[in-house]
Amino acid sequence: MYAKKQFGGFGVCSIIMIFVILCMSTFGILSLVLAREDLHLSKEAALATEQFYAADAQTDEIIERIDKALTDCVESVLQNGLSQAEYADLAAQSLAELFPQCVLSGNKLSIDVPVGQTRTLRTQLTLLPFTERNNYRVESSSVIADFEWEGEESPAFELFPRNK
Amino acid sequence: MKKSGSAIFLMEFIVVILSFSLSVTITLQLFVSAYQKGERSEEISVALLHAQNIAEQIKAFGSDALTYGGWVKEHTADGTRRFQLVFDDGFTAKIVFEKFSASRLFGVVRVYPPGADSGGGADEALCSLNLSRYVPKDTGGGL
Repeated sequence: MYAKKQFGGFGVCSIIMIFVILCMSTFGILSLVLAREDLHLSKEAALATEQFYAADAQTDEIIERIDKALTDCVESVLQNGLSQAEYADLAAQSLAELFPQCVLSGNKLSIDVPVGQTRTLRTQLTLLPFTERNNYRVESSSVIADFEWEGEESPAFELFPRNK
Repeated sequence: MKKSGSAIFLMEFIVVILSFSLSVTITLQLFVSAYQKGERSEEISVALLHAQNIAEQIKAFGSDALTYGGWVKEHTADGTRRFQLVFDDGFTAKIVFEKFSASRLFGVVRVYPPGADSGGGADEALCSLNLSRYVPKDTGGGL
């Protein structure tokens, strides 16, 4: 009886301490891991945003050069008295020489600028007739992913199985 | 025998206190590190929001966006246009324009944390975004 009482007196203190230390270290490690992942996510978000605005600035620079090239074409057309069809040919030729990376289809021009490694900023322009006030109109600007999303084909468990 | 038991208990108690102190020290470092990382993460997120707001305002309104809101213009000898704004939450934004005309704006906005020396370089900035705007001259892209 005496030995049992003595064992209880010695062991409880150590056991409680071990339990408290385990709890503290577990919560400490958990909070650290959480904070580290949060910081990583914030840095990734900042990097993605910086890449987007860098691509946006690059797109603006390309559009500025395209506008200047089209203005030169308009001046040439006005000086030589060319028609709209000739202006379109001249503009297409000029843009193909200056911007081989841009895709011209009819009067639609597509500008692709990479955003980081996995995304592309695609800007669609419509080239306007030389009689218009502006040379172009921005139709759309969107970020597209360069890879296909591959979802899980056959989940191990389906809550609501699909009818086959 | 009883004296010996007290000595063992005392010894165990001392070992327990020492171990507890050691573990508390280590665990506190974990919590402090987690707190610092959390603070840093929040600062980056807030700075990013400020920088995005500025970039979108410049995109939409051009340099008109800098005429209100407390922006301070800095005169420089190298020809670049610099603007600075201290937000209510203590963050500081600095814009350096490389191109500054009626139709074309191009520059960089950097946001610094509260209390930081915003006169420092890009290394101290929490985030740095390119600012760009192009409006054809005839369409009234004004300053």
